[in-house]
Amino acid sequence: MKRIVGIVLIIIWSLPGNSQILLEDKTGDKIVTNFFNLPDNNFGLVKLTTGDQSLGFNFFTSTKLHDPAKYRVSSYGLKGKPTEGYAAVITNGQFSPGINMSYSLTQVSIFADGFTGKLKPIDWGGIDLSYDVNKYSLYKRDTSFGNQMYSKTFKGLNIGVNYNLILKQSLILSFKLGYSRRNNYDELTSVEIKDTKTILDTASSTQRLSSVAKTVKSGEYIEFDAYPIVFSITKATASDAKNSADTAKLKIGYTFYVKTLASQKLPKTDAGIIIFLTRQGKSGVRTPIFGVNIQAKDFFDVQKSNNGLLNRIQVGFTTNFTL
Amino acid sequence: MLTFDLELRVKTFGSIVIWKVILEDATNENNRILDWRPSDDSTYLFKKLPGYKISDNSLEVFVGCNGIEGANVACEVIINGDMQINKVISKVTDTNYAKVSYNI
Repeated sequence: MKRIVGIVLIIIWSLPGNSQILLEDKTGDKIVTNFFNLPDNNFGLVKLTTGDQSLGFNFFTSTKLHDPAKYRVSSYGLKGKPTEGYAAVITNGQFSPGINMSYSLTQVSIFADGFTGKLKPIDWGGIDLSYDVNKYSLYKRDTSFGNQMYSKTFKGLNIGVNYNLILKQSLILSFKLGYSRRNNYDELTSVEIKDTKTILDTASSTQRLSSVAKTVKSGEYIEFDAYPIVFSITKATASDAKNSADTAKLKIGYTFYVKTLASQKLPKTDAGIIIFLTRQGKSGVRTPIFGVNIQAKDFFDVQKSNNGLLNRIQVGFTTNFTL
Repeated sequence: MLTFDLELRVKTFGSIVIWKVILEDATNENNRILDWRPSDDSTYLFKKLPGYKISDNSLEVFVGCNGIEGANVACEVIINGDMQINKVISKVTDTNYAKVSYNI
């Protein structure tokens, strides 16, 4: 029920949006470096992702006014989330912060700046840097009582390069690769630990129980180096002419992606699709107002879960709006 | 040689990634217009070129753009304070630069 209310709130919250989307997968990883219709001045964007339950802010600057045919875009981002999710915050009053700071520099038109011809390709690409600091609450059953509950602070650097290409004014191809410090926190099992204290009052012969609940992850926690490789194809939605009746219609666009995490510890390949609905604004820009992300985690079952592909399907929602 | 005050105003519609305006000769990148400024109400970008000189009596304005299908770029031309009737409109699906000639 809480999840449904959350989804409805996000849909309502997104309605005033008039910006373009930054497509992210369920875990909050950027799939497409997309900044179309970046305003000519500096620009802020707030993002909500229910997949990793994060709230983020991005600030952009560009040199587009100098030369709209060849320019650079810088993006500064800050994203926060409770690492155990909002359910633990609401039910247990428990909050372990997770912060992601990011910077990206993108050059628009590197090799292809199509102004003439049939295919008219345009490309852009750049670097992404980010740093994660997450505090986790963990539980280890096979140890002494006093050491069973412990917390861990994860610090991880991520560096990547990306290259993107638009073909025929509708297909966006994106390729990313890089280095990432990761952990297996999301793969661990969530358990609720309840510590109960008993107080016996002999005068009234009353036994009083008080308990404190905490949501933690159980299992062997590991950190490791990984090399993510992401490939995606996005079908953008076309704008309709100002006087067309179709301007009021919502259109469906989609992104297919394959995300491989090359690593010695937990190699895996996730495949997914983000389906988004776009609405046309007065400027003719079609803005995604709501996105559904369906992801098949560990598509090839490299981690030998042996639980069937359907059981590894995850669903998340993403949207954004301008300040 | 003709000298006049020229102002260009550009409005975009839809998802435009790159665009350019070139005067006189589309193959000469040195004639590309740079350093645009936003209007006070941010509805268009403009470039003022006071005392602009051309060698004949016709000004050629070329506009090219690229982005997502359905988008376009419109360039209004103001010569000596007079808004010209014909705009230069370039669509992302155009296979060449849009061009309009203005007699001075």
